[in-house]
Amino acid sequence: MFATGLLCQRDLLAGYLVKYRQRLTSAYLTAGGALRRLEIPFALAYAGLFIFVDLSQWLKYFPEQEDDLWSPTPELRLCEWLINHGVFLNPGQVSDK
Amino acid sequence: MFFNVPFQPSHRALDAAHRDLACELHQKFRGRSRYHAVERPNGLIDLSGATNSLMSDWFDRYTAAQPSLNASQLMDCPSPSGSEDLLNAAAGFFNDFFHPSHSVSPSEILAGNGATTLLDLLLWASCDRGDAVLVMTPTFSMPDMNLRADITTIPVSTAHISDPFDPSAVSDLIRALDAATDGAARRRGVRCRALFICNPAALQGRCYTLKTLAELAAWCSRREMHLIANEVYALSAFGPGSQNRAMASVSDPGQHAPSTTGFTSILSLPYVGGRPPQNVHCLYSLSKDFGMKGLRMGFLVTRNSSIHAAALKARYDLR
Repeated sequence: MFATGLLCQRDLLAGYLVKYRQRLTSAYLTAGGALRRLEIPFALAYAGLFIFVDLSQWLKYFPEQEDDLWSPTPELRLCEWLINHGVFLNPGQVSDK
Repeated sequence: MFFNVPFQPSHRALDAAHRDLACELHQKFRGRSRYHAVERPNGLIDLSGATNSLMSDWFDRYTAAQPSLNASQLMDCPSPSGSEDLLNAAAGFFNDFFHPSHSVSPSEILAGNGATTLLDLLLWASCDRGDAVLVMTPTFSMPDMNLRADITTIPVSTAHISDPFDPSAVSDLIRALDAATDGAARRRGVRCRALFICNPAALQGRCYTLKTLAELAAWCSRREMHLIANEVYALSAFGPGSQNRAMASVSDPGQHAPSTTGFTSILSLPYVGGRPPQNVHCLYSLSKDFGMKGLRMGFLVTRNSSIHAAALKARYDLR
């Protein structure tokens, strides 16, 4: 019912998309600009709600620990460190299985 | 004597429990309070899912203006494919915003509880147990295609291709897909039955061109595979004018800015032999572009009436 009503109003949706894309572009500029200032490499994007960042240069701080069954890889250890410091990002291992 | 002893899940359920790293991560940290600017400023900023909260104010106003529900709207049982009104509305939506080469009719749409559920249904209807689906990586965490449809996922890395979305790279993509398909048959004895892509691509935030989509569809046809496009970010492409401004603003001067292209739907593929492509299927939901993850509203658009009928039958039986 809700979806039907929404999808029927295509002029309204056209207006939604104009505003949405303005905000999405602004959000991307904010995030991309911050990543550049912090010299964190990332892939340029033109769509979506995400940015693919490269944190590989920080993996050296998380050497493998064979006896840690939960976080066996440096990438997962970095992921957990980031979570414990307030930010949850998807590690690359999730994306390339 | 077994009343108080819990039975263990099935072997396949236990096996599946250890396959999904993303799910394990979320489970481990689900107890952490999430960030809120006022109530929980020290909470965890969760960027692990592509949550769209950019237009919450717009939806606040929209939902406040909607009429109240009545009991019959909650109690009436719709068709397994979705109500006629919903399918008509969805068809109009796709025709207006996805620019299909051939107008989408309501009979070519199946509505369901999100794109993932419909993907599961589509795989069940188009692939046999033990078949495989090719997935180009890197990609966002994939739903476990083995879970119910009993499908093997074959990742196809594109890391060696400098820009897999540039139309000039399509021959490299085809080579990688051929190698993965032949390798799966030779080493694992599995038949690849479908290629799954995300367009715009989740992680990279890039769109495939019509040329690339057409080449991928032609390749799938030669290899007797379905092409399944998850287009849940279809309307989240930056506007044409803003693309260049956005790129110029954040590009490293030494970084080569990839070619820009707006969104082109898989539904835009031209006719073949007087008919729209029959083995190309589009998945969409309202969870990303419109941020309505809680609504659980997804759509499958397929011109293949046999696949549509098979999926519809399964949906009927699963109600």
